[in-house]
Amino acid sequence: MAVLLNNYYLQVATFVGVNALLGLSVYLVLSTGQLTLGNAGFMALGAYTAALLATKAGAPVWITLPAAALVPAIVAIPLGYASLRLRGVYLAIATLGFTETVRVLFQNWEFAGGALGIKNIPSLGRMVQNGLKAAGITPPAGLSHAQLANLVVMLFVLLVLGLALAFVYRQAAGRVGRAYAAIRIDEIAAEAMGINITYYKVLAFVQGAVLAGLAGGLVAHINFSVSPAEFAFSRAVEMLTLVVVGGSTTPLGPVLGAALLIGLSEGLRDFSLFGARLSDYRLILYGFLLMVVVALRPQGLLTFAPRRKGARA
Amino acid sequence: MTEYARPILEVRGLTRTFGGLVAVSEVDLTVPEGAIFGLIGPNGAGKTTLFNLITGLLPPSGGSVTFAGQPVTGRRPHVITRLGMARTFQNIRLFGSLSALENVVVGTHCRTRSGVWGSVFRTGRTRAEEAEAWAKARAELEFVGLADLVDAPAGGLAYGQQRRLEIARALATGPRLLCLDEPAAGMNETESEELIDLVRRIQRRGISVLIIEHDMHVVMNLCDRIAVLNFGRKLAEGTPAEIRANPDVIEAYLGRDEDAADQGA
Amino acid sequence: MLLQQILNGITQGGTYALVALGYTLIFGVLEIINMAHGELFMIGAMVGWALVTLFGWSLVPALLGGMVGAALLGVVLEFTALRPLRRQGGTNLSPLISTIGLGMVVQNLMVRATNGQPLSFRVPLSEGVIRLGPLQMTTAQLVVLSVSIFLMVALQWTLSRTRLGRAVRAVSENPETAALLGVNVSAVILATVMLAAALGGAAGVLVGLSFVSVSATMGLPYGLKGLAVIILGGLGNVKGAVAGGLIIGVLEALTVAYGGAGYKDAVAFGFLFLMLLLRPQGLFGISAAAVRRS
Repeated sequence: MAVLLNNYYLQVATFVGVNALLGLSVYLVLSTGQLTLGNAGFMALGAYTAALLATKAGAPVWITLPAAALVPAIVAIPLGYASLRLRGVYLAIATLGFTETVRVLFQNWEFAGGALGIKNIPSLGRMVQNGLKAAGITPPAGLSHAQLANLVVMLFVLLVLGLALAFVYRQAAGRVGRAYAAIRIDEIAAEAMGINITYYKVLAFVQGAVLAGLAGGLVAHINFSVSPAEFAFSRAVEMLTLVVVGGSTTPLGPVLGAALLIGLSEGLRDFSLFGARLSDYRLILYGFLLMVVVALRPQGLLTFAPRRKGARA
Repeated sequence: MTEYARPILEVRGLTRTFGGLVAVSEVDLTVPEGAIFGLIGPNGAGKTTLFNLITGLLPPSGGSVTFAGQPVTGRRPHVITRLGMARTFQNIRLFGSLSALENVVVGTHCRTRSGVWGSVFRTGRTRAEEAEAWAKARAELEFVGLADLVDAPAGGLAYGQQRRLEIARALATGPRLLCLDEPAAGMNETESEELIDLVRRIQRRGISVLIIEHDMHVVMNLCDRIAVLNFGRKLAEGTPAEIRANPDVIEAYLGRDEDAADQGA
Repeated sequence: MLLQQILNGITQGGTYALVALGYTLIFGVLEIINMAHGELFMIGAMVGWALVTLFGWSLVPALLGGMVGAALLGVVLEFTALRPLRRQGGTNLSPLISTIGLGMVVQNLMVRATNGQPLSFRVPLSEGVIRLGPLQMTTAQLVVLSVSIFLMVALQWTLSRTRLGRAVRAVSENPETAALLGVNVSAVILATVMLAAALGGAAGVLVGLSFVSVSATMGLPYGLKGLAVIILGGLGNVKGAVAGGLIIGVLEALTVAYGGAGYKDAVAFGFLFLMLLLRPQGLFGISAAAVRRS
């Protein structure tokens, strides 16, 4: 048990969970047929909000995390409205510009540490560990305190992911989800059937921003530090790849994508092929996967089974 | 239907230009409430463009549209639908990957209100509203005669069935005016008769109908009033008998639809 | 001094305009944004660098070489990321995603090849400075400005006077009608992509010359600026691309002089958002309604 739950695997699993959350944030926007490259920027906003509140104001986690989810939402509303009332290509461009702008702004903001970012953010793992020790709890099954703490953190992240998935599923089964699907399939017909397409596109966009921001807040507290370079355009492309490859028509798609791609990159981290370390080629692989999947199986790996409506009252 | 019936739709001087091209020019129309109003004309006369102007898909270059006494010129399509004007499309725009029932239930969107909170927490009000919406969708499917195709993917249906499904979806929006764009296109005689029957049943529900059609049999037998468009302008307006006898109309159609002169004579 | 800054800005803006024109051409015939355009720019710069530094070529041949190199990558782009998707007939999102993918591949391959380090350009130009009254320009700036202007004029001439140019305009208007009129639409698309790539590649070489270095990541900021320019000027609008490029160039120069150098990049994006809010069709676009319809 202790071997299976070693720190490395726990960290990878936690990492997969956070990335699944990020993939889900992109999925939400894709479910209305829009392409966003802005969730890396929203993730940065969330991460920095949490980091600043924690390090400069000493705020506890149960304040920093909700704040990390809320701040991106506030920014997403005007950005989304301005871009989404226009044709789809404008959103891709605007969100690309947004992600870069956020990165540049943080890079030049001395209060937030400039290019070096913020360090020594209170980590969730440390907090749990201290809590366990203070409560006098002895880890079972020969686990160390650190391992138990990492396990708790992983479970917490998976819990957040689970709640997010439940939210997305419930929403998809109802009126809002139907509106999203109609807009995705044919937005002109959807609008003619009385759906306010701009409102729902912005709603999905803001929901995506909230999830991305929350993921950012989690990352801040798991990694002890944040810096602008982590939230660049390549991050946005990674998130997109998780959804496109894993499956863009079902909420479990990004989860599969994260498990596959992140799991693979971590698992093959030290693996060398022809003298080249595979981890260096990760972005090239992602780019290649994007091209191949979009050409051969655009809906991605996982597709949803048609829901049976006959059973409904 | 009396001549003094209040108009459900009033179009005044409606115009649309694309660059130098005039697609629709100074068209006036009055659709009395409860009527079935036909819009005919040769191909390229501007009928579908007129539809798009009326239903909000295209902003007009000039003129006005008044629906049930409310100005709707240049308003977004979803607002117009919510006010009570629904439509079908010439090229059929169903949600192909959704089932027939799911397509129709999308139509109930503007008559329901539950949002994120209601869906995620399955509140009592939302559950009641959802049950009602699905029930209404089933009812409309039955009304158009597709009750046994409830779960069939819309994209796989036969052509005539798809047209009826589109009508069911439009009916689900609870309209006072239903705009049909060439619903009989590609239908055989039996299907056309069934369509005529369907539209009459829609009229009996108190819904006014504005219909673009090329099939003269359908038009002459169904419509209470007809307007003829040619080159974007209104050529004539009147009862089917008046239109049939109108020399300008006959000339516009000369050589295009010779059956028109013989139909229903 | 103000006029000097404006002159600097116009010179830089010329390169932005060239990049923007590449986007505009492809948007015109394909109605998509080529997200790999920044990489076409970068490859042009890399090829130019290699020709000058490794083979000792002089300026004009190196510039042409850079343009050809970028155009070849454009061919790869068309056949791997664009054409296969057109056959499929998918959504507008697919080519966007596909070009993002190709851009990532090319950029990161170059990062590996250069080990992430910038490469310096031993500029084959005299280090001279030319004075025009109270203003001055380095020889490099003069070259960049004149080549930019020449290329823009050449493009305009090509579009309005040659058969190819007319075919490109026809396909931009309406591909179906163009096909009916006997235009080989596939060939025109390929030619347009190559042309757009060549312009981007030229801009890359010119920028490499201006800043005396090239790097594998130089494509991203210029690609983004190019996007800001076409939003400012109006999607698919050639005049707009030129005007927008110059405007952004000047505004950036003024920001560096009077604001802070670090925020230079934010200027273009700030304008981008402002345009989306206030005038989405851009300076030269016709109506706001046109950009709202899908």
